[in-house]
Amino acid sequence: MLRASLRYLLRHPWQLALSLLGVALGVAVVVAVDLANQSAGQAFNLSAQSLTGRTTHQVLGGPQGIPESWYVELRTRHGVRQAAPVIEGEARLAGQPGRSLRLLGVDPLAEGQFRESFGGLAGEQPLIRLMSQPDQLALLDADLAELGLAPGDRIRLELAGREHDLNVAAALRPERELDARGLRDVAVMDIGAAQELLGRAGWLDRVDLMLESEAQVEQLRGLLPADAQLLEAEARNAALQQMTRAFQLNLTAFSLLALMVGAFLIFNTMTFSVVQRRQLLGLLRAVGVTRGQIFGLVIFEALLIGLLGTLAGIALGLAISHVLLDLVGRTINDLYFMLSISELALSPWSLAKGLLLGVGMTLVAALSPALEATGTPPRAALSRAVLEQGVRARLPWLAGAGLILVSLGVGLLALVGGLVPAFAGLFLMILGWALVVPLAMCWLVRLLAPLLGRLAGLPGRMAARGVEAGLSRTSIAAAALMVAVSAVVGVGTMVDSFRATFSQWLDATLRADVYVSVPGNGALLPEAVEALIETDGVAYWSTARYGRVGSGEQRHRLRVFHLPATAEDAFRFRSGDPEAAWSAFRDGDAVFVTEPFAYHQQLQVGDTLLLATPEGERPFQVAAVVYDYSTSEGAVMMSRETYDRLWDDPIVNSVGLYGPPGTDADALVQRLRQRTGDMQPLRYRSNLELRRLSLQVFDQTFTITQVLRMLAMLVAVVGVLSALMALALERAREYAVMRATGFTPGQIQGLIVGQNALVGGIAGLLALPLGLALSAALILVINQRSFGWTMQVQVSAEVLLQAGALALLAAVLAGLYPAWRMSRTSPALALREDAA
Amino acid sequence: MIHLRSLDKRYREGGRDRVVLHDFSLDVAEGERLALVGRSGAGKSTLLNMISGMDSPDAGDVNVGGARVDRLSERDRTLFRRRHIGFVFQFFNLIPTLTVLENLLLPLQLLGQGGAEARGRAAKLLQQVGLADRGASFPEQLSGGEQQRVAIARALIHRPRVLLADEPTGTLDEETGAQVLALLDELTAAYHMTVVMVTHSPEVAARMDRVIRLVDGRPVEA
Repeated sequence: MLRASLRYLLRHPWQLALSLLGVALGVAVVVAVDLANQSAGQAFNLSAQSLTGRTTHQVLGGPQGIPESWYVELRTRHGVRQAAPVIEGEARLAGQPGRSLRLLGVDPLAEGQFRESFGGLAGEQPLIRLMSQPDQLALLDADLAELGLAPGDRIRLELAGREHDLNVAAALRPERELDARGLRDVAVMDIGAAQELLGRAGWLDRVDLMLESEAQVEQLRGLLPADAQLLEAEARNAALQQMTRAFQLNLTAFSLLALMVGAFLIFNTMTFSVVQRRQLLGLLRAVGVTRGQIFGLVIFEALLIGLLGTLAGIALGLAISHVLLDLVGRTINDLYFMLSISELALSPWSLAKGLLLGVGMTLVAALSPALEATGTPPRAALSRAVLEQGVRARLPWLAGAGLILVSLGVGLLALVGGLVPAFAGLFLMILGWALVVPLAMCWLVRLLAPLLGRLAGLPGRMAARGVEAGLSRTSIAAAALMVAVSAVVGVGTMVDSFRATFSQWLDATLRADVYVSVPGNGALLPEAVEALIETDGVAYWSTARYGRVGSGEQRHRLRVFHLPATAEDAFRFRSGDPEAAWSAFRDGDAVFVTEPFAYHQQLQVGDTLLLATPEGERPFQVAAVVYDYSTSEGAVMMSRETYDRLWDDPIVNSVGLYGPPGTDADALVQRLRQRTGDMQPLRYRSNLELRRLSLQVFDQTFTITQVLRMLAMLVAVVGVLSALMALALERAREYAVMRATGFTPGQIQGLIVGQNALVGGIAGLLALPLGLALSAALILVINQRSFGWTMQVQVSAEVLLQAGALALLAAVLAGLYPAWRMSRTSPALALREDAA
Repeated sequence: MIHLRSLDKRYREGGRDRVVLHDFSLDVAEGERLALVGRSGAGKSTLLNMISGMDSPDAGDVNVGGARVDRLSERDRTLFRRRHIGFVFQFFNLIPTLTVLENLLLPLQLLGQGGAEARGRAAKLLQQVGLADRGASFPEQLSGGEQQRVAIARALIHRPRVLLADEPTGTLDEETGAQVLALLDELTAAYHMTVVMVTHSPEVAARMDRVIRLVDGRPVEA
């Protein structure tokens, strides 16, 4: 019996290949996304573990950091020896755009106990060099090898806009594998030299500590500067990683969508193989094969296809994951923090998950056909028409169940909080609507048949009737295509809406003609600021200071603005009375918070936010929640006046310069450059340029979404190809009769392609309502819950037309091969084969 | 009407050549009704396919009504078939997605005759085959005998010069088969058609003007 089954599969190589391809593609996308996510997670963990070392606690300061003097006092006066100062910055490799290193300034003498890998430097010759000269750094030997460098060579790095010629003092050769991987792209320098290069002399980013007892923790708490926090190292790493969770969950959901489309394919293949062999199965039942054995046979075939397809999918997934890894890494770097993902984490769990999902999904998809096969009466030779009648009788039930699923999905999305229920709701909606497709299609072709008959005569009517007559095939093809196209519409509309919202927000926010900052977000020199604002043609200016500020156990982004009154409308209020809010912002201790911040911290206008200041923790009233799409983490906004009252920190990170109406930004930049001369390397960006760059980053961030969207579409095209080819092969005899009656090959081709176009058109049409519902769910629920952003739903006719065209094209393309094959097959042969 | 000269035809089966027709020659006069008999696989259906242009000989001439069918292009053979040949199959082979009336109209519509006259002709023919009230039914709603009567009507509606029938009563019970044959006799006689019918039944063969037995790829007058 198994031999008969295997031979059947091998005699239908196209069918077998397409179903294998369907499973493989679905599994590949899931595995690739999972591997990319795991790799990002592993890279983060390795780097966090290497850089945290044995650190138990970290002291972090306000926007400026920790004064170095405090650290010195800690060691000398209070005798806390288990402390190591750290300063961090980003260094670009000169001449290698896009490649950057994480510059880590440490005190090599204090390091030994903290990070074994750096401690290994102690007592060696390079250590003396590292500490004695300001231009020395150490890099992992693997990184050096990649850059073609060796100890003693020079390396050019760009820091805060200036290029520096540095010397490679040593190669780090950590003993632990963990460090060898976790320290990729990290350049270690003596802290004094790093402070100098980063322009932050006298300041530290943090002080790492090894505290062994609660008493020590308490003692240290008593010694902290007023605006500093003592945080547990592990908790801080976990909080950092948590930021990317929503992004990674979104990717996983997309990959599951591709698998779902793949499942349709398997369902289709298995159903087809059962229907095609009804006579054989009936014969087997007649000679004494039990229902259980028939069930086992179909499940065995599914298992075989599932296993082979999944294995191929895992291999393909490994290949795709390299591309995705790059995209995931770029997105994390753009949106969250600097992370170097240099290797693929081949987690056995990811592969096992792919295997389980692929084979499991295949088995689930094969259940219904297997049950159908057991229902074959002995020696039955039911006609196709009778079978289709049975299918048609079930359509209302199927559609009813589908509508219940859709309602459940909508209920989950609307009523239950959290991201996982939201995605579950999304999938229920998709599945439910897919179940409605057969009935809807049946109605639509009946509705369209007279019209097509009038337009294309008998072939038109035949195409419409053919779709209905083969509903068990055509509806699966249409459902798979519909799911993929609705994903294209849903995600397309989401990205469009987000882009439009983001672009409008940029228009409102970017009001200055020119923005000036220091590359790498360093501090502008006071004399440079003065020169800038006194330049001819500058009517007024704004300044911004970016940093982090403590709040309980958390650290928030802080943005401090000095704004001219005319620039106030750059802030768009989500809630809060503008007049009262601005007055409180300028004169009282009130802050604005961005929308994602309010969402994550569950804050409303009128609530109080505690922030660590040099005067200790102080309450700030939330005067307004403002729209902001620059970071999903969210930020607190404070007026420069308030900040200056509390912090002794004159630093400015960016200056916005406003000319009178009609200012030529390029000419203004020219004048500004002349005025500042060689004071400091500065970055000048005109309003338009900044806007363009921001949109460029936005598009880059969504590349991965587009890639996944296209992969889902690819799976669907394979599905449609398989389903429609199965249908065409099933009808070989019918087409042969037509040829015998006098249909030319061209007419047969036209008929098959027309029929497919009808399936594609209907799939596209039915995809629109689901696609729009998906986009609403993505925009209003999932994005809101993932990132806390409100977006305006923007439905573009272009996306809708594209989706319709895509569905039509996919179906027509899928029809080309069967059309060609059918028109080439000798009718005599088809009639002879079939009669046999 | 039909002149077959020195036909050769072989098929590859299981890696070996199987000779179906060898130096086969046969003439069928206009209006003649010929029965082809012989074992399964003797080449009877192949011969019908060659006459209709659905299959080509490896060698030899196929001349039907003055047209060298074996020399026509694929498209011209289709057009020739459309115009001059009617086909009745053992398994009826109606188009399941078309109603009885639409199945009947199909050959006329392919010839560009879809108007009122065509409908009239179809209605008359349906009446002749005793299915006047089933025009709107789909094939699956008819019995085997009824389907075969529709198939005969479809084969005759465009008044072809040649009717080819491949065991038209093979799947019908004796009584229904007899009714179908009577119908076929009546209608082909009325239109003075040349008929070539493949059959396994000696009774059916006996109703025809002449019987040819295919033996080892050659015709033997029975």
